[in-house]
Amino acid sequence: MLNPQRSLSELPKMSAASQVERAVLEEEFNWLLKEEVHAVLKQLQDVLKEASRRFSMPTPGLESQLKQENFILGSSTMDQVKGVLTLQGEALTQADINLKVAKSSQVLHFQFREDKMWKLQQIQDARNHVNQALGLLGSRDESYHFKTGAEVNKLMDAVMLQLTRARNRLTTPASMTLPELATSGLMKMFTPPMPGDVMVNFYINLSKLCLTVYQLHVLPPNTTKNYRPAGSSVLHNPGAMFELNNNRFEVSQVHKVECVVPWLNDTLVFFTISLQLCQQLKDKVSVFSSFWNYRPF
Amino acid sequence: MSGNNLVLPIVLWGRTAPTHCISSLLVMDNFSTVITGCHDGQICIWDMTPELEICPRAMLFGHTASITCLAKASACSDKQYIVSASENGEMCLWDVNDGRCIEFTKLACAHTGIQFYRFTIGTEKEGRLLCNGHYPEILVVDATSLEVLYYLVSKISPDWISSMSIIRSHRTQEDTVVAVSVTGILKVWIITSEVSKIQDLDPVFEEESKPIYCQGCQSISFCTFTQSSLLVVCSKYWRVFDAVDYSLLCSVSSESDQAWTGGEFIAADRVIIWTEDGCSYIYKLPASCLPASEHYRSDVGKTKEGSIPPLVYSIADRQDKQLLICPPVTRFFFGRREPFHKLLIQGDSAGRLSLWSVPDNSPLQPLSTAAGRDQFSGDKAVCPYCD
Repeated sequence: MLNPQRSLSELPKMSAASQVERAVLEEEFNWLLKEEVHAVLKQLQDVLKEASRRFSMPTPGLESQLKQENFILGSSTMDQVKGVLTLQGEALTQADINLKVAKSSQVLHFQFREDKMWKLQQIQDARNHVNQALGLLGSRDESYHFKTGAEVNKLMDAVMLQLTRARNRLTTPASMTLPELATSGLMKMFTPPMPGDVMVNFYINLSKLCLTVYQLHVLPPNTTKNYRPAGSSVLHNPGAMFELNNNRFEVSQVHKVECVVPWLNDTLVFFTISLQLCQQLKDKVSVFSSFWNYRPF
Repeated sequence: MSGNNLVLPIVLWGRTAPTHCISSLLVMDNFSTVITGCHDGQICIWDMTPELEICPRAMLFGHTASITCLAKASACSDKQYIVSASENGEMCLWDVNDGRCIEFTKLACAHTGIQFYRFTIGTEKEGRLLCNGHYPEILVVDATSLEVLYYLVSKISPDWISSMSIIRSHRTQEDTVVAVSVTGILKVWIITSEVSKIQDLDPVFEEESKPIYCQGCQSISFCTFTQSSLLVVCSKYWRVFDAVDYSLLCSVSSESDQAWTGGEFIAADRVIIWTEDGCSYIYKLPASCLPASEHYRSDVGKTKEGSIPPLVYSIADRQDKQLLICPPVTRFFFGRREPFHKLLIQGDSAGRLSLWSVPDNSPLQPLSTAAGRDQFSGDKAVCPYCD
């Protein structure tokens, strides 16, 4: 706005105009704090309440009343592994796995032992983060009076942090080392018991429920192969090696099958919408703060 | 710090001190130091005189995310150590006397509460840190190395823990950890404060798991006066439970839109509860909560919500309060030495600390207020050295 060709006589007009502009901006900002913020927060709460509902939060003592959903995990191209998993809330209450052993027609069948279930911590964490976000919005309803833009921004930052965490829990499954997988409680939950050369793992990746099956073979002690223990990973590849109880193993085959969980997909969409709503509100507030900081000439 | 050169980080600022939007608060046992943590990750050490005047002394830099909790971390009185935890899982051990960072670690999940647990191994006094946060168990961490030693886990409905309290037994070595999960289930674990040289580091399962239907639990505290009740404060109500069988003695809902954020017993028959907007209320407990009364436990089993007990005193909104951009943090501390102050302390987003003394009978005395920014301002160079 600094135009050196403007004549000096125009300066008083411009400062008067900028004063009027400031007054209008102040009124707009007040409107933002009083009306727009609450409209956006209401929308945000509605979306997050829908997301929270998808997680079917268990009432203590009534966990068994949660609905059970069955998911068929398989691959269209290969049928070495097929699984039917039952998800109840945040836990798998049944896992029916069929595994075709390589180079034979033998099919191994495993199921969870009676009353055993495997908790999917990713789902519980995502659910809790959504509820934390709702808690932050809970006391900021229509009756609350926001006094500054900074207050709105702080609230949006806190809500966005929880939503980002919720989304990350679903998109980033835990990395484990092969010995950790081998000694995890999951291996002991099956009937008939898992043979020593098979390992399974369950996790959530985005909106998909995944089952991975590792087939192992023991490395003979005088093998010519160069032993290098594999590190932590979400999914290990064939050829990965590890040591357990003085035996060395190598992964010979890896099978991964998955199935989309529709309600998890819904929640991911809700997270995206909510994060957008938060960011847009922050952007609206920042329009005004950039004006306050602006000093002509 | 590498090689033989000592590197001293120095922090300088101009006329206005850095912002200090307080997110957590701790008063050291000897009541001579107050520690505050802020949303930007800095920690401020304040000195407190015996007349309870406060003055900021140093600022500690090191965390890269907002401070979620502060706790004392040393068992002996000659060492003044504290531990701080931040939103991104960082944990630091600091020496309060010189501001050094002694230990640092980063865990996968954030802690929302840390409590110091004094421990004896033979004749040595050690410390453990019990941590709860965005994970479904309680971590028992070594207070010197910040290593996770073992876990307190749940068999029934494992979930995140909202708040916990350590109840020390005066008679036996077995202490109790009482916690409330996010789904409103009360959990109880037994931990021992004295161990042999060979420590058992297996996970410890809960002794008891009782649904108390307290959602959004903000704090749980044990009454050290009567040794027989627990105060659970949730955002919409506060409740008193029997500490032996965990039955509900009384339940009080909030009168208006105010959201409760914590509370403590200040006497055998009184509690102080504070709200999200910085007000505090002292209530006289109904007779059904007092073991000394003949009406003790008279409301057990009744499901109706009780009437609001008599309000003894309230600290309302102050006119001179600056605009706050986020809820203030309020805590209550008992002095362990003469003159045994009962202190209500509040830190707000303007970097200001306010103190009130809670005498036994007469109304609350507002004490001092200190604002970090005003005191730190000026062309001062302060050098807290942190690794």
